[in-house]
Amino acid sequence: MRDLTRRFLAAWRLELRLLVRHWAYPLLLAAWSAFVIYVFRDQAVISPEAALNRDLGHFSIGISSLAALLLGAAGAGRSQRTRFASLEESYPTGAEVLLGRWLAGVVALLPTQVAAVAIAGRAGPASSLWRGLPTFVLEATITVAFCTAVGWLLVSWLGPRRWVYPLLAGGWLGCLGLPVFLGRRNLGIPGAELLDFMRSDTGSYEELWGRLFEGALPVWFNLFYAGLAALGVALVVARVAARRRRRAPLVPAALALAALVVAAASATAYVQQVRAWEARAVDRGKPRPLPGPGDLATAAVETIDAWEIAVDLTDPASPRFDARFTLRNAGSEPITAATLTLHRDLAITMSSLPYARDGDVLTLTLSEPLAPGATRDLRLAYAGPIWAFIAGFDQTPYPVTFTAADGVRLAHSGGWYPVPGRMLAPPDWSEPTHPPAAFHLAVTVPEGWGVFSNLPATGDTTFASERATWVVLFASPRLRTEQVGASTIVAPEALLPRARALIPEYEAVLADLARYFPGPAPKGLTLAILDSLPAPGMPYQTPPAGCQPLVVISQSTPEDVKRYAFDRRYFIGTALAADLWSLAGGDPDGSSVFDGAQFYLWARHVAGDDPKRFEQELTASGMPYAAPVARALREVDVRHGEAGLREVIARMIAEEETLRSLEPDELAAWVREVAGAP
Amino acid sequence: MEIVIEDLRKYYGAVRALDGVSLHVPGGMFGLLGPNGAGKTTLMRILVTLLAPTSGRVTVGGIDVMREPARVREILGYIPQEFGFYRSLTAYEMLDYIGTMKRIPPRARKRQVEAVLEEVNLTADAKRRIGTYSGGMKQRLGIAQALLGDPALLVVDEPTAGLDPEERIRFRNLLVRISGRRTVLLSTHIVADVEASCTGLAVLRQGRIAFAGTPEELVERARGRVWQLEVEPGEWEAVAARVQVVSSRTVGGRLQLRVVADENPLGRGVPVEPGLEDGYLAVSGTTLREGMLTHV
Repeated sequence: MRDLTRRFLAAWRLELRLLVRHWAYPLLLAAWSAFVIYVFRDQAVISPEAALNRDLGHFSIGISSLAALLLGAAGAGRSQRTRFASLEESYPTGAEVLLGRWLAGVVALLPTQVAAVAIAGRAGPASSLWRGLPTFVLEATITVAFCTAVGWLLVSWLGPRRWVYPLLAGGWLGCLGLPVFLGRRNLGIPGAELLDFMRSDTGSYEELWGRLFEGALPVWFNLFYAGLAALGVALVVARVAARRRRRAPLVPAALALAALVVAAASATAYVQQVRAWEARAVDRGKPRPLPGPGDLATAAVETIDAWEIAVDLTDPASPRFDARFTLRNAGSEPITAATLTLHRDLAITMSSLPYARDGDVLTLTLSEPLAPGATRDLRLAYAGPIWAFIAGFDQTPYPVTFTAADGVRLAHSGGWYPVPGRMLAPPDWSEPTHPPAAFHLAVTVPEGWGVFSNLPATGDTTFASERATWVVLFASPRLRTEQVGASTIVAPEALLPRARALIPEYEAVLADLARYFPGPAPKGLTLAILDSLPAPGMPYQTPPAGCQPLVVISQSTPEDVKRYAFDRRYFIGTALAADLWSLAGGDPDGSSVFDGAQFYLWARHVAGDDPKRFEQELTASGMPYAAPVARALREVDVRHGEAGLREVIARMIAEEETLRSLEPDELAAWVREVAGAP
Repeated sequence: MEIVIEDLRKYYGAVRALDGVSLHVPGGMFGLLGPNGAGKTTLMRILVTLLAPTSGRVTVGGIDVMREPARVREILGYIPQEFGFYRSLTAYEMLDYIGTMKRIPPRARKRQVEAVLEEVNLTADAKRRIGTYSGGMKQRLGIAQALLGDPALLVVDEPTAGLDPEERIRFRNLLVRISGRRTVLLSTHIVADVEASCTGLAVLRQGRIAFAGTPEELVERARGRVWQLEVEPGEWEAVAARVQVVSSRTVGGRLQLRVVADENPLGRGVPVEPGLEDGYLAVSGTTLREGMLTHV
C-alpha cells in the first residue's frame, strides 16, 4: 500500500511539475486572469460570497473548463508524444500512475480561479469570502475534474492527435448554448440546465438566503458531474487495465458502474426537483383572475381588528404559530360563521372554535351569531412548512414564501396568518392584504438569527403596529440589525459595511426633503437591505416603521443607485418622500397629489436653484403627468421660499382626498391659488 | 532466466507477423537476428507484455507472460527500438521517477540511480536536462532505466540503430558487461552486434524461426558454401541474381565479391572461411540487396 501511494504521489508530483513548469502555463494563468479581470472590471459585486456563487465565480469556472479540456488532453497524450509510453508501460505500475497524473491536471488548473477569488475578496468582509470559498473551490474542482477526465478519455480512445484539441474547443463552444436550446424557453426539456457543465447559469444566490432558492439542485448538479468525472477516469483506467493485465478489469468496471449510478441518480433527482418546483410555481404566462387593488380588504363581511401572533422558529423548516385575533362582523347582518384564509399547508393544532377547511379557506363556526359590529376574540394554533413559488422571467421557479432550515421568508401574501375573506393573494401580490388593524408580532428564533418585519420594532424580536395592512417576516442566520446614530440598519452581515456607508447619503436626502413637510423632521431612518427586488413578497411602498421612514432596498441596489438617476430617485427620493408624506398624515399610495409633490422635491434636491437643470430633470423623468404640479410648486418655492412651500405641501396632505380627483393642470392651478399666486 | 516460447502467433488481419514461433532461450546474452519486418519487434513487445499474441504461450522464468504480465514487469528491463524521456527533466530526476515506478524503496533508489548512472557513464551529466543530450547519451540513459531494479531479464530491441560507430561499440561493450548476471535478449539486424556479444542466437524470417543455436553452429551452416571471386562490373547483376552476395569491393577496376552458394559460382570462386554473417545469410536466404545488411 505504501508503494502504491508512493507511485501515486510520484506520478502526481511529476505531472504537476511538467505542467506548471511548462512555458505556456504562466501564460495561460495570466491570460485567464486578465480575461476575468477585464470582464469584471466594472461590474458591481454584492459580496465576496455572492460574487463567487454567481456571475464572477461561474464565469471563472466556465472558462477554466475549456482549459481543463485542453490540458487534460495534453496531459493524457504526453507519454505518447514524448515516446516515453513504450518505457512507461513496461514498468510494474497500475492505475495509480494514471490517477496521479489526472489529479495533477486538476490541481494545476485551480490557480485559474485566483483572479476571481481576488476580485471577490475586494468586495466585502473576509468572513463572507471564507464562507463562500469552500463551495466555490469544490465546484471549480468538480468542473475541472470532469473536463480533465473528458480530455483524458478522448485522447485515450483516439490517441494524441492534433485535431483532438480543436474538436474539444469546438465541443466546448457548442455546449455554451446547448442548455438554453434544450431548456424551458425552447425545447422545454425539464432540467436541461443540468448539461451546463461550465455553469454559465448564474444561479439564484441571495445574500440573505445563500443558495436556498436552488434547493438541493446544486447538490445533485455537483454529484452528477463528480459522478461523470469518476466515470470518465474509471473508463480510462479500465481500458488501460484491460490492455495491460490481459483480463477483465473488474475493479475499474465496478467503479465505473458505481460512478454511472451516482451520475444517473443525481440527474434523476435533479430533474425531479425541477419538475416538482415547476408544478408548484404559478405560471405567469397563464391568465388568471387577479383581485383588484383593495378587493381583498373589502371582499369579506368579517374583518379582524387586532392580531397578536407568536411565531416559533426554533425549527425554522416547520414553524409553529399561535395566533390570537379579534374578529369583527363588518357586515350589516349577524353571522354564524367566519370565513378566513390560511395557507393550506399549515396544520391547525388548536382552535378555539370548530372549523372546516377547503384548501386555503378556513371556516370557523361561531357558537352563537355575531351581531353586526360585534367582536369576538379567537385563538388558532397551527404549524408546518409553507412554500409558495412564482415562475421567474425564464420560467425558473422562484420561492416567495418559504420555511427552510437556512431561513424563513413569510411574504405578506403567504397566508401565514389568518386574514379575513376567502382569497389567498397570489404569491406575487404587491398590494396590502387586509384592512388596517393592530398587529403584535413576537418571534422566537434560533440563537444568532436576525429578524425583520415591516412593522416597527418594539424589541429585538418583537414588532407592533396599530395600523398594519400587511405584514412580512424575514428570519435568517445572516440577518443583522445595527444602530448607526439615529438610523437603523437591517441587512445581511456581509452587506453591513455598505449599508453603513449609505446611511449618511440617505440621511442627507431625508434632511433635505423633511424641511418641506409639516411637523418635526424624523431623526434617522430604518434601512433594510433584504433580498432581490423587485422581488415579490411585500408591497413596493413600505410605510414608515414607527416614526422613522423605512426604506427597503435590494441586495444589488446599493451600487446601482449611485449610477442611475432614475433608480436613485426611485429608491431614495420616492421611498423617503412617501414615508414623510405618511408621517404627515397623507396616503402616498396611488396618489397623484403625492406624485407631483415628491417629483418636485426630488428635482429640487438634484437641481437646486438651477432652473435649467430643473427643466432637464422634468424632461428626463418620464413622468409628464407630474410636471404641471412640479412647475407650480417651483413657482411657490421661488416666490415664497421654504416656509411657503411647506405650507402648500401641508395643505396638499390635508386635502389629499379631495385633490386626488383633479387633473394635473387643475392640481397645478390649485397649488398656485393656495399659494396666492397671481 | 529461461525463456520458453511455444507456437507463438500474432496476426494483424491477413498479415502474419509471427507464425508459429517456438524458441528456448536458456539465459545469458541471446541475439535475435532478422531482416526488417521479420517479426523481431513484435516478438519483443509480446515478451515485455506490451502486446498480446493471437495464440501461443510464452514463459519467462516460469511466469506466463499472458496470464501474469504484472509479475513479468517486475523482473523486466526493456529498451525499445524507439523511446524518449521528458526533456525538461534531468537524467537523475528521470531515473528517480522511474525507480519509484519500478518499486525500488526510497533508500535503495538513490543508490541504484547513482550506480546505473555510473554504469552507463552519465554521472557527470546527471544534472543536465535530457533535452540537451546527444542520441548516444539518450541511448545510454535508456540502458540505465532498464537496469534500475536489477532486472533478471533485459530485453533490448534494435539498440544501436542511429548510433555512430564509436557509440555502437561502446554500447555493445556495455551490454556485454551487464549481461553477466542476467538474461539479455538482444534483437537486431546487425550481425556484428550479435557476433561480438551473444552466446546464443535465433534467426527470424518472415515470422518464423529460421535458426536457433550458438553462433558457432550458425557459422557451421555456411562452411563450404562461402566463396570469394572477382567479376567484371557488368557481371554483377547476373551473379547477384544467382547467389547471395555477402559483400563486394572494387579492386583494380574489377569487383571482388564474397558470396554464399552451394556450388562454386562461375567456376572461378575460391572457398573461404565462413563468418557469422555468412551463416546468417545461409539460413535466412537473404541477399545483400533485400536484407540491407551492414557489414562492420
